Amino acid sequence: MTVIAQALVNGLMIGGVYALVAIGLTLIFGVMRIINFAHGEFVMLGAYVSYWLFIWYKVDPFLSLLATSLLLGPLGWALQKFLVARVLKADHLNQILLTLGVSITLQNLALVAFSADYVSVNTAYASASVHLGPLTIGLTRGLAFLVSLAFSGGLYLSLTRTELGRTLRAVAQNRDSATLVGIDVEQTYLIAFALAGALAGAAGALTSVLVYTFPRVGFSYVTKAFAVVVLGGLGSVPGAFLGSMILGVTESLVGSFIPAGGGWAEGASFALIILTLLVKPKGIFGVD
Amino acid sequence: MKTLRRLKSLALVLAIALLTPALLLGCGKKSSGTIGGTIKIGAIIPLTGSQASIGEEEQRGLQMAMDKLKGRQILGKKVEIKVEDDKSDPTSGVSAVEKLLTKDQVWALIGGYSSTTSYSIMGAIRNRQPLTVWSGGGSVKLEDDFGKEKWFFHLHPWDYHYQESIGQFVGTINPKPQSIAIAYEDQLYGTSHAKIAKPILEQLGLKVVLYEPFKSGATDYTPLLTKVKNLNPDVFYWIGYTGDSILLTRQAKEIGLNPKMMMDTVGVGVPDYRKAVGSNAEGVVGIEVWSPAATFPASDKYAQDFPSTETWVKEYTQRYNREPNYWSLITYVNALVLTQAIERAGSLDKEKVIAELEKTDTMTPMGPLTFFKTKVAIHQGYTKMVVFQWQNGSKQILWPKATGQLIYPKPAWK
Repeated sequence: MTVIAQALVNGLMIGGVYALVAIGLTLIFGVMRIINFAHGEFVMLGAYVSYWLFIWYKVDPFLSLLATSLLLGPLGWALQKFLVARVLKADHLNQILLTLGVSITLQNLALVAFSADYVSVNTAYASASVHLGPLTIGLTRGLAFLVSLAFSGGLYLSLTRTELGRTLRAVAQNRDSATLVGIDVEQTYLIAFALAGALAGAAGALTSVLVYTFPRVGFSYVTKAFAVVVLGGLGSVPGAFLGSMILGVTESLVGSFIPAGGGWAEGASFALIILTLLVKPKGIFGVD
Repeated sequence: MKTLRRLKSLALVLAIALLTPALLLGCGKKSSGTIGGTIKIGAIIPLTGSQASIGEEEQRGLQMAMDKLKGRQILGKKVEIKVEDDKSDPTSGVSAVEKLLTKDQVWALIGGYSSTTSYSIMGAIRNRQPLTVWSGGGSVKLEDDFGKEKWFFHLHPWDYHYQESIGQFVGTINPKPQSIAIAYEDQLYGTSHAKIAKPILEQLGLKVVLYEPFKSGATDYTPLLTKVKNLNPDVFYWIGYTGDSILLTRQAKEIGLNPKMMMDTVGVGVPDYRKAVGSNAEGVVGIEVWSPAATFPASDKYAQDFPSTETWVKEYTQRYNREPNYWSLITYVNALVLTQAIERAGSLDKEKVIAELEKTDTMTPMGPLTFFKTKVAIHQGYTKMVVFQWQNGSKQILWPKATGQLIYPKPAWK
């Protein structure tokens, strides 16, 4: 029993990090119908910023996630303003090529600028853990989970309760009607990208302490986040959160209880995509 | 209008995507095209992609070799080394070698890292049989299929050299460990090493309580580690890359897994590992092809190319301000052992150079080098390994020539 509970807890904790990445991806998709492949590279940049802040100024990653959010937010804004805005009305293929191109470019620039070395923030409490009865929770993961919960919850509340949220949802539902009622659509797009950038920045800071940082670190996250977004329903924030938890728990259960499961666990995300597309193509909270 | 805009954005993306690797490779030095004045050698290394950190090590080694060759004439010609990126990917590796052989018309091939990529490259060039002196690829699959080729010289030890060394080292531990959990990354590298390790360790009387693959590059190893913890083996032995080792070490501490010995193959030897996990590396055991702490003397015949290990490490550290990894050195030796053979052969006749390479018998900063027969291969370079343990922030060599004592059982997590 304890073993199963422990596996579930592990899965939820790792799901928290997936959620932080997936929510930014789903937000942009919901509002703009664009898949931002460069999202993972924003996570990577956030992770490097957090790493350097730690090395130079001894800033704890859980503090520097505010800084990385504030830094990556404007970068998201700029990506929309100067690049994505130009292909908004173009083919989906062009949009994919653009964000993929930005992703490859950022990855290679990082390779030149930071080299391919693995770096990692090593805080004093890096591998400490807390015990809840028979369960063990890594301190860093537990904190990361809480951060993710706070960010996702905050975003969900602002989407449902504030004027800005209503604006974002209006544009997501119908671009043209939103224009008719006087919403500045382009402004809204900029806000969506800035928010997604900020979320990626926060996810990056967590990555720098939870995992390790290297130029391709964003890539593995973005493929999983993509699976999560499909699972939860394209554009749905609660869907992305729930999807992340499902993916995290699935990976953990597969890894724990299937013989030689370690190799299979990473495939779980793809199995989930296929399953979702077969059973409920619009995802759990999917609307279209 | 729409088409125009579409074309424009496509062109922009392509331009950026294509420009970046060019920047990375130092804005491509264009060759004169004529083969008359230069001897062209093609090097294939992973400069981008998941193996880029090793590719950078290899590139630093190559640069040092090129420095030595600078201004030197071999057979009255200049030596030019053309570097191509295999992008950590077998398919791109094949394109890279095609480009080197057809467009650049290189005379011989060096470099290499991943076994999987090396295997694809050798398959692609088998019919043309260009002279190849290879640093990478330790998989026995490579040895089985290409080891007998006359044109193929292989520097890196084979998988079983690692596992035989590991076995011999484990045999020296007192009191003898009773049980072991083996986890390995699920590609060619991990699986072939694990397959060799298991019988060797079983023969020593260890009970293998877990034998499972894991995915390299995963973000969470707690399920695997929890299994190991529940089985409570004396030794936890994983076969993975540096990133995996960083995460495995951290998460082992997190869940309170602390066996008497934690051991990996190549992932824990690099300085990145120590930096990333800090003092949690204490007591972790690993194996390396070479250690900068080695004490090989300078070569009698090629003292300039192959100085003593100490001198070479000093040259490297001065130039790059970091400690060398063996991948820098093996690639360095790779380039120079070939040019020395060409010089001795006195011509670019392939058979003559092969004959000279076969006669190679020199000391190098990596140890003595000759090409001899192993299980299948007819031209195998290095075979000796070093087992070490992280102690007080540095590596103590435990086997074959110990510089320190094994701490067993490993100290508790701090």
